[in-house]
Amino acid sequence: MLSRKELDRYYRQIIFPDFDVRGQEKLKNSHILIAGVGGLGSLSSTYLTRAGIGHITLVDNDHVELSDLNRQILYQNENIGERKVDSAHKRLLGMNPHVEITPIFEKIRKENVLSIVKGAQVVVDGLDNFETRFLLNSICVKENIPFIYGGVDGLNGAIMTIIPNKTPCLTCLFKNTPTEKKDFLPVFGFVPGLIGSLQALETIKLLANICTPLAGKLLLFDGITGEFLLSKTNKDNDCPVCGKEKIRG
Amino acid sequence: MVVKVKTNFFGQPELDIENPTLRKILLELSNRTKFSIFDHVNNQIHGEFKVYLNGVEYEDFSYGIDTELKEGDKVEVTLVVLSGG
Repeated sequence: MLSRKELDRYYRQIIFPDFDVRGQEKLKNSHILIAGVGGLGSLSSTYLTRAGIGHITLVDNDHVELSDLNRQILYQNENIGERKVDSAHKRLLGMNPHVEITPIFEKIRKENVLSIVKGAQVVVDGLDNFETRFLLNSICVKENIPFIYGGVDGLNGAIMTIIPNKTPCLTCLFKNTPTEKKDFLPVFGFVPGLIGSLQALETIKLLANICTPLAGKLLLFDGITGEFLLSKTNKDNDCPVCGKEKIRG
Repeated sequence: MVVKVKTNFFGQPELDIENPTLRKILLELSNRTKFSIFDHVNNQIHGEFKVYLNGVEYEDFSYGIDTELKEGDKVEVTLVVLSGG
């Protein structure tokens, strides 16, 4: 049940057609995981906190650095050197005290990934490397948790919503593509800003069961031309994560 | 000549191009997707894309991006996973 203060706080979204108080209550009763609170996670966590998700778990094992401040809008000069999850926790509670925030200062690994995602209804990708993305993709398929992929590089961004056993997964789409590790990718703040905001939108669509999510569709943004490309993706029956053999086995 | 191009971001478009080369294919694909796959200034493919001809990366061919295509050649343009956050 929403309090009087919550009804006032969320008024401008409660009056959105098809959302109303019931949508807001669904958000309040939801638990999501944001994996990585860097450029993408700064935006998604900000909007999802302000939107009134009941419980948000943040996981990240980095500290705030000066070179993060061009894009990671949760942090300010005085946060340099602090754990990101601790700074984010404090900042997000300041935005909305009705939200429960659980910070986890850990690197996501094979050994702990299951316990980290357990209980989340949606996992939002805010990671900065492909290995952990594929690990999360895999565990989300296995645990039947929707996974909202987001990625940026330079002026380009990508987002796709993965619904386990219904849509292609990240591995279906990218299993044959090179994944060379780069220490530092070029990025302007507005690109993760854009993609992180869209990830927040996708999360709310899924939790409140409104509108049409980008399920099975890859949305690409090319900042050089300013063009968006929405592409239907195909499930790979031989996918080692979600293919027929994997599901049967 | 009609060249079927396999992609992981734009289906498998069939491009009808006279005396096709990899460069012409990429230009046509850029036109269709409105995406800057090819960097005209530096005369190279943008880093987010990989281009293969019959399974071999285009850079391994003597004429690189200007390699001429033959009937039955298999062209693949792949978007790599964007991994920054």
